[in-house]
Amino acid sequence: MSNKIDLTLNINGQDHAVSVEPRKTLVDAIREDCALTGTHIGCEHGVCGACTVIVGGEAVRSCLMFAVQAQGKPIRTVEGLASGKTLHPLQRSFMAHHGLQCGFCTPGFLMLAVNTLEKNPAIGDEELLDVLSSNLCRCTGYQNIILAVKAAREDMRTKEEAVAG
Amino acid sequence: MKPPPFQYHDPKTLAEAVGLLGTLDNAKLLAGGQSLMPMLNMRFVLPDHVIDLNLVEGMAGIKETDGVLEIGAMTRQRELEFSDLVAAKCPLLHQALMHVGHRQTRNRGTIGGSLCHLDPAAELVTVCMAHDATIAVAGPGGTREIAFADFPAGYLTPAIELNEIVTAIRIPVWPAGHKAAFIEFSRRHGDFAIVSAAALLQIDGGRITRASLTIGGVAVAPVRATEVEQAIVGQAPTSELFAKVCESCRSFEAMADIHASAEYRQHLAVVLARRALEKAADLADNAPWNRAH
Amino acid sequence: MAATLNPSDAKVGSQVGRSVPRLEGRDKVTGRAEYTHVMRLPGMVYAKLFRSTVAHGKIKSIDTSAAKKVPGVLHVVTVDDVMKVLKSPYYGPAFHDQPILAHEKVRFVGEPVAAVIATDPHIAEQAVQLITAEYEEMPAVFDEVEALTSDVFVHEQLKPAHTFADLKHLKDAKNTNVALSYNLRRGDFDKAFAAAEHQFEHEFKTQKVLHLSFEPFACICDFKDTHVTFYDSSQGPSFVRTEIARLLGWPENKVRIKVPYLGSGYGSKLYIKLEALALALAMIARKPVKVAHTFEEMFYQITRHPSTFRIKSGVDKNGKIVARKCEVYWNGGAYADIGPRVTQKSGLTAAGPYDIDNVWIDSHALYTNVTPSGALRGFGVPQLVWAYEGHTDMMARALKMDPVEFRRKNLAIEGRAHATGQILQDHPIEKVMDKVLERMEWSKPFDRGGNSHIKRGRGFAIANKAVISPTTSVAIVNVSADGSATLYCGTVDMGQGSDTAMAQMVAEVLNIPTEDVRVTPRDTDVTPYDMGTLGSRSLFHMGHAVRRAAEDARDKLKALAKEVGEPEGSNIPIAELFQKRYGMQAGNVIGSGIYKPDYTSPAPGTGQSPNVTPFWMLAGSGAEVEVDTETGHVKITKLITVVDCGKAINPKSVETQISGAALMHLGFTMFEKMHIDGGQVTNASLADYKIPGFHDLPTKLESLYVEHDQSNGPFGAKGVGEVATFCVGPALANAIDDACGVRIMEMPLNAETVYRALRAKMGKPLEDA
Repeated sequence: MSNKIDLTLNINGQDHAVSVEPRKTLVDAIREDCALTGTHIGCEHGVCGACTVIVGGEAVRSCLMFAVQAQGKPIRTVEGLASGKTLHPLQRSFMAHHGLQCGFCTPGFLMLAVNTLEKNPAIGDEELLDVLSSNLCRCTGYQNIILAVKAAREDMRTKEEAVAG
Repeated sequence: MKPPPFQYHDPKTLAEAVGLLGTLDNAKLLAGGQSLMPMLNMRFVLPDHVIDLNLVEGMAGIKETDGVLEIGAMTRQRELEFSDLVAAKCPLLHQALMHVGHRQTRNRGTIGGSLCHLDPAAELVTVCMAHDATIAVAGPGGTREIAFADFPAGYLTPAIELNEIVTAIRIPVWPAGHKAAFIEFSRRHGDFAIVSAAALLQIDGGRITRASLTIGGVAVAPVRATEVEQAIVGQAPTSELFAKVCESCRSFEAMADIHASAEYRQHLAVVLARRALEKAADLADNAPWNRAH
Repeated sequence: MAATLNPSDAKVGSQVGRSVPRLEGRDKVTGRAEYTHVMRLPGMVYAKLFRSTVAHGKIKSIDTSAAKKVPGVLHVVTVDDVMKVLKSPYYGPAFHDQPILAHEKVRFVGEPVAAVIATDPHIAEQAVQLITAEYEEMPAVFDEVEALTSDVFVHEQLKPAHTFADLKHLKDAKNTNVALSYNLRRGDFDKAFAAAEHQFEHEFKTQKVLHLSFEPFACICDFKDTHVTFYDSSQGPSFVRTEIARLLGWPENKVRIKVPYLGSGYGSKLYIKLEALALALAMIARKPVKVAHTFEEMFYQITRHPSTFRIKSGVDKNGKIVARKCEVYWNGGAYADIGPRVTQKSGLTAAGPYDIDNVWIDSHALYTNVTPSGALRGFGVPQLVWAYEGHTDMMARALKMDPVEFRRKNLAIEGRAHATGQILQDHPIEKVMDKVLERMEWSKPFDRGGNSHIKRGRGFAIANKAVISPTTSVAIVNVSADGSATLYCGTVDMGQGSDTAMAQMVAEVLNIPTEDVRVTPRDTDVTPYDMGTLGSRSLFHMGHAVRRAAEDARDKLKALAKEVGEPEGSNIPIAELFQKRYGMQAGNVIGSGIYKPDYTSPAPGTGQSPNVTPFWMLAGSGAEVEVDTETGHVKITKLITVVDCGKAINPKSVETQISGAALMHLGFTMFEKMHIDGGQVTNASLADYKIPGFHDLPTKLESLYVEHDQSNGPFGAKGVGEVATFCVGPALANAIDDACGVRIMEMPLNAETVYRALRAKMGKPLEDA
């Protein structure tokens, strides 16, 4: 009864022509139909944030959106963070500061943090913590995630100043 | 955890959406999806049709006309959070928004969606009750307005017909200089409140001239503490007064669930009512759980 | 840098003790790390489960007809179908008691009763909803203490596996829910207790909580008539291989278990979980089958043991504990899993890190009609510490003794005998306690706060645990002809950083940078035997095997140098060495290492043994809290956890293990709870089962270690995966008691519980309001 719908998902600047049932969530389409498995599926009901991606410039839980709703909006996933072999400052920072253990929540945290820092590179500590609090991690105890994002914030800010100057 | 199969519709106009809703059997409206999507994924809701309102023109926006803040039902919670108009005219709504989920969920979540889901502990529901808002709905027979006091029909059930769509929320604003406090008791910031309290006070010449006090999360819908409101109007705001009159909140009918017993909710209603009034009247700010650190 | 045989200087520098960023970090931050949950095989089909809605009952009928008609459904499977491909459908590590799908009876709500295999998981889920079953409901037993004497029996007869010699006597036992009783007797408890100046008796309880790994359980089985391959989210591939081989009646070499990275485990993915089911389904479908849980389904797989602990102590007039009796009841759920081992191996430390001459321990594993219980980051020890450290503070309070001095008087220090009789070595418990107290500034005046309804308090706790023994690990180090080294070891990196730590040990021995060591993904066709990644055993046991394998490789390289005529002390590049020997870039040098510690079985009945464990884990936590006495809300302003790690192989990894374990246990202590009503879990989702988030972080969280060289450990090190969980619970309960004078003896310590206790203390119970 539910016919497939043809649509184009633009992920990390690349168009993916897919044919999906309307009930398919964005995260399933990204993983199964576009073969980008870096975005992880966690709780599938909007609590853990492991599936966080950036849609139309906003960090969202991709388990709480249908793929058809993302048509025409640029989507960014963890696979699009590095440029070639050069890692994004946040990726480097998560590695250097042990901001991850099992790594299952990491792509979601990276996309949330990227979105947050790009919007406001000067975001204060308290607001940063509040924004990050939408995602959960069962391993690390969060301290090193905070450390990693703060370090990347400095890194990204310095870069921006260098460009501006 | 996969949603059941359904047909998907994405109307571009309100008329088209109303038309679809009136003709399709077992249809569900999809707004921001932050409440409906989990229920679909868990198969608690099994619709044959989903009508997506995200592409409908003209259903989002915030404006003020003649002392009434009018908010389109599809306005994202994030728009409200960053709206200068909301912050200036309706500080209670502004404060409450900081407690609605997380910024990430506010990016998608809409005010209309939250009100129609009608969770007893939802912050926006409590604010609408506190402000005597009205809900504008559109149906096959035209449009009508519902006073918010009549909007909750039961647990998770708004008093609208199956063929009606909430289009806007109208909040009568209080005069400039009024005091507002929204506090909640949740296990932690970002979780649904166990009990919340919203206080609005107008204080002139050291006396309370107008008061609104609403308790959310205790019963299936937020309750106005009219007894308290009446008792404090005309009085000078003091902690002693608030402590005395708020005891009446213990008699509210209360739910019990895994998060809290009925008698604990009733007790929290008393404490939060007093603390919300104290905060609104700038007497004390005793809501440590409201702050991150 | 080219590896050389015998570097004359320390150019590479020490690899042990470096905070090397984890080797797989780049894959994880770029989304390229492999997890079973992410994997797909060509032609793979998907299974979803139909689960029991009753806690205990006979299956009268299962109607699968509607499900079979759904387009895309390939098979709907019940245990009858399973038994056509596997004669005996029962599996388990300690008892062969768990059926692949419910057989004749169901024993808990959520037990798998039927499986749908379909081309798509959406279709499988849809079809599952069309299955119905009828049960003849039977009385059920849920409480562990009740289960001891109940006339409701979860199993008709017990079926111990052959794996454990000490369970043999339970074979075919009937009319009991006791899967194992462990006993320890030292001195004469009754006499010493009766004679003691002060006598104390308390009962503590813990609730049902679960691991909630972010990568849910997942298993793909690719069955061929000649061999079978699993892609498995497992902490113990060697055990899975043995158990699957047993079920098939095949030799182990036909069973291959491949384990990519795990989205954590915490003990949940041990022994055998989805593998037997995946095997049966793949044999029926004759295609690769993936079984992957949702978060909700994890509530029906494995949890931590709820427990009841009755503890009695006799104290003499000087404040010395002279007698202690521990009666511990473990709620094992419907299937034993590793519960009997939890009962025994943690049972032996139930009396705590104290020097007590007369000790009596009875520890009982009980079957009940709820989700099975197993290992969870501490193998039962956190439940024990919850009781004995609460008990310790309550006694100190009653004796009007300072809690520090009371503990100091009773600490089991090095050279003293543990309750098992083993003389304590490398057991610097006082060092750990002192560090906690120092960081807490315990000796300084404590600010109790001036606010009328906010009460401040502080507390601490200490504990020890014996690592599970005896267990075996094997490792291989392969040096290729270009001089690069590869490590083959079965320790599963589920986030703890074992790949990096093991590589650091190889690098240390071979004197090369850690980053140059490749650790192969776990694959039982390639990686040798390991007992399992559990109980903080890996760094010690596998660490020894890895060190030995690297040393073996180094020695063989030296021998090779001699063979080709290199002078003593030659620093020839390794690549040239192979070139010289084989005439081209060819050949390998293979080093291997095996480790199993010495061990003496405890004497039956008394539990006495001179050598029951190769090392002790030691921990202490201190907490400061602010209690809002109007609501019961507890704000944790400080949480300090100190462990003894022997030697930190990777200091940042050690710290992260401590902070993660401490926060996880903060969740278990303060709010996590599986609510169960008539056997039905009523909060089986992450929305209703709360785990710690950013805003649950204490204002100050400190994760510290002391380094007391573990004399028998590899490079002086020992494991730290669990140790930081032990003391968080009692430290918080002790702090709350200190703040507002209420003692809560059952977790969790949520706001309503604290508020109710405050009201009860005032003589105005909330329910009477």
